[in-house]
Parts: sequence; C-alpha cells; structure tokens
Amino acid sequence: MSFNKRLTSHTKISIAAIASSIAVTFSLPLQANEGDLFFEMPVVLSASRLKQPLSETPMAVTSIDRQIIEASGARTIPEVLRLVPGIVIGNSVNEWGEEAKLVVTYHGHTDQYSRQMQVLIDGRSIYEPLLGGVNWNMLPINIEDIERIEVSRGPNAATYGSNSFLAVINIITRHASEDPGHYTKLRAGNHDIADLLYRYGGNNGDIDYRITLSSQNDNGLDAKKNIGPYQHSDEEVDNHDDISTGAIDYRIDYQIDNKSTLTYQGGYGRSKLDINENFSSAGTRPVRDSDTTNAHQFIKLESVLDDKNSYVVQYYYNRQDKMDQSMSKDILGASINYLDLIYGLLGIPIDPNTGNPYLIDDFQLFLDFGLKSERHNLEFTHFNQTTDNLRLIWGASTQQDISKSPFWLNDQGTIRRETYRLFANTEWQINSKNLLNFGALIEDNKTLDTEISPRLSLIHKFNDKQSIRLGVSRAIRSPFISEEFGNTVFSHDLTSGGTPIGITLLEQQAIPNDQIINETITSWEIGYFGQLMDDNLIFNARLFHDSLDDLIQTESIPFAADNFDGQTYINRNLIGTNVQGVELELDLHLDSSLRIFGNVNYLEIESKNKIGNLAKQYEKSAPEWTTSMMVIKKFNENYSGSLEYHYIDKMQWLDVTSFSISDSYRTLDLRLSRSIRTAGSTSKLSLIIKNLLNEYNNYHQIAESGPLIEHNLTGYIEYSILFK
Amino acid sequence: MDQLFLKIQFKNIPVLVNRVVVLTCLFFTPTYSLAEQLATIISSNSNHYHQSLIQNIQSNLEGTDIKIRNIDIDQQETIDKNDGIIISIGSKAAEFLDQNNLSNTQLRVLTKTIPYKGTPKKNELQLSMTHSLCQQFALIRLLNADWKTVSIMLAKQNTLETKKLETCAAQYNLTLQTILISQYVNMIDALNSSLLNSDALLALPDPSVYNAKTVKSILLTTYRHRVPVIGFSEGFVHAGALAAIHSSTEQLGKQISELIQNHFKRDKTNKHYIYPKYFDVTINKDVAKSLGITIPDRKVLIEKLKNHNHE
Repeated sequence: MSFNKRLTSHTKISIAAIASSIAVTFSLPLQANEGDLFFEMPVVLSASRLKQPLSETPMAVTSIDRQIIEASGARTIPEVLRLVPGIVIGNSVNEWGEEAKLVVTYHGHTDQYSRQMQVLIDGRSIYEPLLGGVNWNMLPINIEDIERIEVSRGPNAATYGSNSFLAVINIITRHASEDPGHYTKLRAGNHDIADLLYRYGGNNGDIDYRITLSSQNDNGLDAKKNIGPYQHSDEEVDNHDDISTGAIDYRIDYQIDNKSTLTYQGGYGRSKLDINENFSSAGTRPVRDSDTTNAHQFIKLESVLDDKNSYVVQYYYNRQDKMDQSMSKDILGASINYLDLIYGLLGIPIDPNTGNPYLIDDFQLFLDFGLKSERHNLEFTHFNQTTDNLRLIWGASTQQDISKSPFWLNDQGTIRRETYRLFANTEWQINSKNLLNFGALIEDNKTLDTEISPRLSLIHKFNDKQSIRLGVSRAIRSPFISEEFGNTVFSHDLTSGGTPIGITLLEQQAIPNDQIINETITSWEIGYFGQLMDDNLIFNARLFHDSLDDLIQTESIPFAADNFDGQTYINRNLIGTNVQGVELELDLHLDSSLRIFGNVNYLEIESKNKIGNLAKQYEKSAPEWTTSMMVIKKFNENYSGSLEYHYIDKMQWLDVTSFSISDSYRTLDLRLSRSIRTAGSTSKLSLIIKNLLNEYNNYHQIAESGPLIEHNLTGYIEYSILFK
Repeated sequence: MDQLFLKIQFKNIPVLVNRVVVLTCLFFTPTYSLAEQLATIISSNSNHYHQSLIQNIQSNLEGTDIKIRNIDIDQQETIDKNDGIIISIGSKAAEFLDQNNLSNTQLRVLTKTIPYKGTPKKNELQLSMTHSLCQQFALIRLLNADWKTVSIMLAKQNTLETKKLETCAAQYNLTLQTILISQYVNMIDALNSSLLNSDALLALPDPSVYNAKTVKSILLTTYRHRVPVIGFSEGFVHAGALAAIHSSTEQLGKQISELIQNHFKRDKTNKHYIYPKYFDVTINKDVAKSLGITIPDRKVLIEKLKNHNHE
C-alpha cells in the first residue's frame, strides 16, 4: 500500500516535470538556416566511432546489439554475455567467506576473479588492479544505457594491452542525444527483487546530456539448511548474499565544432553486500557486511583533422573503496584443532609457576578485508588513412595503478605500478580479395619485463559475402598487484587467563613473489565469415588452438616463520595448457519480426605439466560443450517475446573443491512484453521468467558444513515508461 | 464635342505615332541591346552559403557586360521592373519575389527538392540546388543492386508529390517508404520502426527534418540499424552519410551564370524547373566499410549518372 502511494506521488511529480518538456521535445526542430544544410555538419560517425565490419575484424568478434540486450530481460551484464560463444557465467557463492560474485569466463582458467579477460566501457578499462578481474555486481553502468557489447574472442593485447588475454569485452554506451526525455523503469519479483531506474536525457545547444539514477536489490540465492556432513534438510536458511546497490552516472557530449567532440562521463556507485561465513573446516570468517563505493571520471576528445586523419585523447580515473571489517570466529574453537597445530610447531608451553601446560585462552582476530584501488590512464590514438589501401592506427598510453589493503598487502602501505604502452595496428587492403592486419603493442611495466604483444591476420574474401581468416597473436597477462606483492600476516600474543604468556603466534598467510612473470598466450585460428540468404543470415565459425604458459596459481609451501600451521601461500607461474576447439555462431533474421541468435561450441583443455590435481583442475575449468540460443519474436506493434536457451556441460571453477563440480545443466528463460504508445509516452510491461527448467547449477560451493545453495526459478515484472 | 475630340486627336497624332514607333522598336529589339544588361541577385547576406554562391556567379560573369546588383532581403531594399533578370537564392528570397509580383524574368534558386505541387509562373525558372530524386534513386541503384526499399523522411506539411516519386523509384525497382514527421510524431521512434524494413534512407534537404541538431540522432539511429543514409551534400557525407550526389557552389555558380548569359542572348529554355548540370559524388569509405557495403569507383558512378537525364 505504501509502495503504491509512493508511486502515485512520484508519478505526479514526474508528470508535472514531463508536461513542461513535451512541448520542447515533441515539436519539430526549429527551422534551421537552409543554406547551412549544404555546409559542413558535425562529424557523427567518425573513424574512431565506427565499428569494423565483422567480415574484416582481425579476430572473431561477437556483437550483442540493443535488440538482444532488451530481449534478454537481463538485470546484469553477465546474463547477456551468456550469448557469446564460449562464455560461461557463474555465481561464486563462497566457500572462503568472501562476497558472492557474478563471474564470467571465456574458456575457463578462472576462479571467482576471472582475471583473464579485459573489460572496457567505451574504451575505459574497469579491470580492478589489486585483485584482478571485474566486480560485475558493482558496475556503475546500467543495461539501459548500453548500445552494444562487442566481445573479441581470443587475445587482443595488440590493441588493448595486457590482460586482453583470453577475450576482451567492450561495452559501448549510447550517445547522450539518443535518449531524450524522462525514462523510468521499475522491476519487482521473487528473491526480493526490487529495482528502480530513472534517467533524464536533454539537450542545450551543442550539449547533449544524460543522467541516470538506479538502485538494485535482491536477496541472492536460496539455501537449504545443513544437518550433517554434506547433508541438508528442506528447511530454507538465509544464504547471507543479499545485495543492494545504488548508482548515479552521467554522460555529456559536447559538439565543440563540426570536427571535434568532447565526451565526459562520470559515475558513483555504492554496494552493500551480505557475506556469509567461511564454512571450510579451517574457516574463521564470520557472517558480515561489506560496503563498497566505486567512482569514475572519463573525458574523451575526438577530433577529425581531415578526410584522412583523426585522433582521440582520453583520460580516465577509476576508484574503488571497500569496507569489510569484522572480528573472526573463535580461532581455537574452530572445527580444525589449531591448538594441536600450534603445539606441534612450538611445543606445549608450560606454566613455570605450576609446571603444568598453560590453559590457553581462545581468541579472535581483527579481520580487515577492506581495500582501496585507483587507476589513472591517459591515452592518445591517431587514426590515419595513409593511402586508399592502407590504414594505420597508432598511439601511446600511460597508466598508474594504486592499491592499498591491510589484508592483502599487510604493512607495505600503498603499492603503485606504472605501465607505459606504445601500439600500432595497420590494415592493408592488398587487393580486392585480401586484407592483411598486423600490429603490435609494447608494454613496459616497472616491476616486470618489457613485453611485445604482436598480431597478424590475413582475410581472404571469396566474394562480397564470404571470407576466411587466418590469424596468430600473442598476448600477456600481467600479475595483478596482490599476485605479485600479496603479503598477508596475522599475529597474536597468546594469553592464559587473560595474561600474556610470552608467545606470539604468527600466521603468514601469503608471501610476495618477486620472481613472478607474465602469463603468455599464443593463439592460432582459422575463421570463416558468411553473409548468406540475402544477408539475412550471418554465420561465423572459428577453429582455434591456444597455447598458454606460465599460468599463475597459488601454491601452499612450508614456511618456517609461520608458527600457526607452518605453511604459507605464494603465487607462482606453475602450469601451462593447450586449448583447442571450435565455435559456431549464427544470427538469422527470418523476417523483420523473427530473429534467431545462437551458437554451438566445443572446447578441450589439456595441461602441459602433469601436476596432479592442478592439471586436472585446469582441464575441467571450462565445459566441453556449450550452446546458446535466443529467439526474438515481434508478434505485432504491441506484443513481443523472446526465449533464451543455454546448455552448459559440466565444469569446475579453479577455486572450488572437488565436491563442487558443476554438473551439466540447461536454462530456459522467457520474456513477454507489451508496449503501449500514446502521443506523449511509450511504456512497456514485461514479464520475465529465468531458469524455467530449474536446472541452473553453476559454481556454488558445497562445503561439508555449509548450506546447499540452489538457483531456483526467478521471475519478475518490469514496467518502463518514457516521456519525450 | 466630336470636333473638339478630333481636333485634339489630330493635334496629337505626331506624338502618338512617335510613341508607337518607339514602343514597336523596343518590342522587337533584343533585350541586351535595349539597355545595360542587369542581373539582380536577391539573397540573405547572413547566409554564408548564399554568399559563396554569389561570389562564384560574379566571378563567372567577370569580363562580360552583365552588371550585377545584389539585394539583401534583410535590409528592406526595394526592387522593380528595371532590375533586369532577377535571381533569387533560397526560399526566403523567393517569398520576397512573390510579395513583389514582378514581371521580370526570374530565376529561382531553391534548396528544396522540386517539383512542388503547383506550376511555376511563365516568367519563372526554378533551379534546384539539389539533384532530382530520380537521379538520386539512380545513384542508390548504382550503389547497390540488391537494395529494395528506400525510406524518405518528410515533414508533414511538405508538398512534395510523392506519387511522382514512387513512380520514379519504381523505374529503378525500388519501393519508396515515406515517413511523415509532425509535431505529434517522434522522429527517432518513427525511424526505428520504419528502418526495420528499409535498405537505405534517402535524405532530402528539408531543414525542418535535417539540421545540425537532428542529424546526430538520425545518423546514430540509422547506423544502429545498419541502414546507410544517402545525403544531399558533401558535408552530410563527412558527417556520416554513405554517399551523396551534390553540386558545389562553384558548380552551381557556373550554371547560374550560364543561365544569365543565355537570358541576355535570348537563348531561353522552355522548362520551368531544372536541376544542377555540374555535379560530383562523394562517398564515405569508412561508413561503407563499416556497413560492409562495396561501393563502385566514384568516377564510374559519376559517368553513369551523367547518362541519367531526369530533368
């Protein structure tokens, strides 16, 4: 009831605001000077803004356009990425007492941080430098503002630098001029889903702007109560994975003159997450909350010098602050007998007054998993059409990563890492049939060796509609800051009856490794691209072989200084793999109202080093078979619907136990929408049901004493209204 | 009374004869020999494009006996029958001529696509700055043999004869889809729904539809639908249209000066509207490449278009 009241009052306010804007935005544009039509107009589709045709990209690229994004009914970006060949997503409901994360992987090799992919928003990397990967739950970007998502399948370090390793996800947002008016979207469903978004887009002379406010809330996944080792009752328990996010983001596009555009984007987001306890036998982390803020500023100048030259200068700043402080569970009371370990290492301490062993007090540790990370990046790119047949894109960038974390970096204070890059890519149209792409990126990182990431691809066109591509490229993944500098230490003065007994316990949980080097990948591929059936069918196939070396993995080693359990962890370049497979993708427009978008993929991972369980873990880290399909149907002007199907073979994420292999599963999602158009508004009512088959079963951990996590059917209703 | 009348009449006979003779001579004497050859150009001085066109007309007429008078409509200047051939540039100048209702020979240079509904007056010749839509359909067909449907966006008050256009499109096996824009129809929504069935959008030089404010949204929307825009100017192509057949102010200035000279040579056309004689074709290769469209060589396109006479 109160919700309805609030909605009503909100609507009234909106209508008042909207009424004043209708008069402006609904009328035809003012009569412009007719002669001006024949002079120069602002350059809208500049070389830097145009995307390469899929038939000419030097690598396989999947483009998820606006129609597919809308048809998916997705609340988060990873859900949309499931439609990309080879991409699998999961929800890392923790075993280690960390927050639940949405995880995205392309070809496995991934734990909950999915570090092997670069993710960019409009060219701004959102890769988190301390722990690596992307925190998808906390991105200050809304699906509604996305124009398309391009995923380069395969390494692309020659263009984007290190970490563009297995794939690159490039999210392109909409120009501010494309969303005029007031737009509101409400979403409500089971799992306490309650989302709200409001956006306003406007124009003032040469300035287009957009501001979006959003909030997303849900209570995470379902869980069944643990009643014994790996045994569960039907009783529902709280999984402590509620998420609540709020964000504001904005974009301003300023047309400086006909040849230059300045784009300024910024955003601020705050996420509150429930975090469950660590259910492993040695678990000490309690149930708690974390509070994370994200902020970014991004400014980009694009200028066209003449028909053959244009350039882009951009600067961005990302910042993340995470608060996650708590007192641990009782250490000696943990299910593992720490006291025996301590006695084993130090001997049993004797009270000199009584000659008897001390009765050692149980204790707690102060845990601070908070972190602060920042990234500054400045980049210059020059686009040059050297001749009719030769195009050159070159540039340079400098980047500084700054990280601080009491837990991950202990007393090392703030770690700074500077990276410098120089890159050039050329596209040479040898003749009407053959196109050669070659390029390289040189990257200098103060703590690691200077690396070159080259790429070469040759496209041969059989005709205007069909081509074949041969490509080879090399890329690196630099260890993220905690992989290189990670240094986690706890200490505690043992007491008996509240009195120190003169023994300090030291837990050196992780030590840095100054010998660590970059991971490398060399990728070979043969691709086919066909535009068939009167251009209504786009079909592409990719046969690939990747050789990965020096993959970084955490290893437990004896450590004498650690008198807690005599062990510590270190990150080392431990293993290499060969990955080969085939990916088939189609995009079929049967008519203007029916579209089918899907893929079928097969993959094999073979470990180069037979290091027991680790080799097996890597070999299982991606599903052999995956397939995805989306059918989009527009029934008439008002009604539309979509069905989305996925099949994922069994797999095992790198950081789960052998009990937590994800069996193969299928998902089926349904969306039905009705649009209502009036003279002043367009509204849409949608029903979305996710996981109709109730099989979705990916990632979650099964700890001996933990609850049974279940991905049950999720349904929600969306209502959106746009006043222009 | 009658005698008196006769007396007066006879008294004035020499004068009357004299006047008749003079008038008859004037009537049969070629215009250029009557007096100085004067061409009056009416335009708006604030319009850079118009000024560029006038400069080109003047430079082409340099060395001839034709004198040019420039009238700025914004300066409330007057015009009369002694101003020779009158060249109006732009629709504002054409409206100015309509208000004055002069019998002088008039060359009306218009940005808007012609023909319009209604017939030009006998003393009036219309020259479109843009090319005939039929010629643009020819360009579209030359750009891609597979395209079937072409959309055009018109302001609802536009008086363009769409029936004629449909006939012309049909000559090139193209179906015309008209999107009518009014204050009650959102342009981008209309584009979004109609582009689903379009192979190309043909832009017409109507400033109420295409202007610096709207061109951004239009080009981004069409690009998202992967539908190329056929523009009407070189600037439009640089902005992001795929191609355009267009005439520069140099080319138009040359044609207008030729028409003025022909007038004084009494070499008049019997047409009421004509199109640019000299033209160029501009292609945006980046857009073509991005949309995966293979475009024939520009020079070949120009030669082929010269063979299409749509006047």
